[in-house]
Amino acid sequence: MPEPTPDELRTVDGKRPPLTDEAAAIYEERIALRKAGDTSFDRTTWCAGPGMPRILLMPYPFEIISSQDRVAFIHGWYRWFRVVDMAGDAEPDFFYPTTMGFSVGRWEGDTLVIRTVGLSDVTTLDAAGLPHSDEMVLTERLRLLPDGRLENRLTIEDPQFYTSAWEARVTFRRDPNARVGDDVCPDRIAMGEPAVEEWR
Amino acid sequence: MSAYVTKVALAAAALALMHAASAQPPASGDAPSASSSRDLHGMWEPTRFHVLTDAPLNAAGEALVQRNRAAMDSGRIMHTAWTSCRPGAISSMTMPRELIMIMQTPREVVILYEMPRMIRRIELDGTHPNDIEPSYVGHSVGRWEGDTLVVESIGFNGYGELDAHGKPTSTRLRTVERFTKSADGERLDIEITIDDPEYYTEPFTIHRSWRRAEARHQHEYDCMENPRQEDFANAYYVHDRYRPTCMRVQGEGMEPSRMVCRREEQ
Repeated sequence: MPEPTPDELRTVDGKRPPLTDEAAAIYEERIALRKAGDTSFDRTTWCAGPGMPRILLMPYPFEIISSQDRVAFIHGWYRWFRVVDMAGDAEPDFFYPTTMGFSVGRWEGDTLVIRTVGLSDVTTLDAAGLPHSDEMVLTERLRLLPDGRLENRLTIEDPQFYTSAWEARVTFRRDPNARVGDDVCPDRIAMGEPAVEEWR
Repeated sequence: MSAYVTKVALAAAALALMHAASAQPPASGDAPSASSSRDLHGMWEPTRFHVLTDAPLNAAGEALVQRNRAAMDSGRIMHTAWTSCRPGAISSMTMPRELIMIMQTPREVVILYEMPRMIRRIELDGTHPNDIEPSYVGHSVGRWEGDTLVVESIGFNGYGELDAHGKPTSTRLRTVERFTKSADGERLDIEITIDDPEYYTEPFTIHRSWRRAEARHQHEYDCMENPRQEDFANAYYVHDRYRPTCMRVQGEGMEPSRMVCRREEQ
């Protein structure tokens, strides 16, 4: 389960990511819209996919399943999953971008390093609306911390919207007794609940 | 209404165990797991797509199918669980399509469906709990009988149709799937027995088969309720639950279209 993250994702230095002027204008507009109660820029509002990395920032659990040459992340939000190809170091091949992208992974000692490309630009990086292009390269470094939490250091490279590569950090708590269930977002919004819960 | 949603529970991240399990790369001389008849892991695809599934409907089931047919004959577009972005596991049995990833650990078999997106988890040598909350995907337990994986599923919520005619299912649905890998490891033959006395006169068995797929990655099907405003006049929902909450409203003039989501009270 992710530990709470702010709606506006910060870098590991606690700063706003290094947005280009164009990207900053888009972000500011979305922040203002959201404050006014308008989340129409955020497709998760109608249960469309949050994509990577945003799904890791939402208050929903996930499980990691490792089997032969693949590692899968099974999420507790609307049946989303992604499968990381661990069989080699080759770049993933894809035909068109998707919200979860295409991932390859390898171990570096105790750290799982995942590289993801082919990420569709329709998603936002955080709840507040950080934009990205479909040229973005997402690198994750996952490892267990001494206290048992899981740490993911995410590096975003996207020159179209960011003036330099930047890093964010998310941590997760383990609950060995919990299992991810079948979350059906359309049923929740039909009941008047939000598609994505706020962090409490 | 969804089963097992753990809003307060925190989920597992078994990184250390996973690392131990995958630390050894496969020896270069090994054939990819096809050598083990009890290893179903890998990327699969159905050999053909079945729009319809023959089934022995009883009077109640036939009445629903006729109601569906009448709506379609009058020119309306029928919406089932599948086209409402909430497919039930039953349709993954009767009408699978696209790429399907099977992952297998000592504890479970996990089936990841690309389109429609769905996750099915089969607990090996498990038992059904006494207090299953009904869900679209049910609760599945599996065991090996020789080289056949036998999967029993119960706990369905009744929202799931078998095919394009909208053959219904109920909470009394129980399924048994038997997965057998071919001798050359290139095919999965699946025998599925469907038992739902609410709508069918007796249990019936269908056959499906999947073959190994060469693809490295699955694509994704980002199903969302996205109907255009004018589509509503023409739509027929097999269940009210399938009625979308949000719709796309055309902008006026040069204005972009926008999504409008109604709340339950409206």
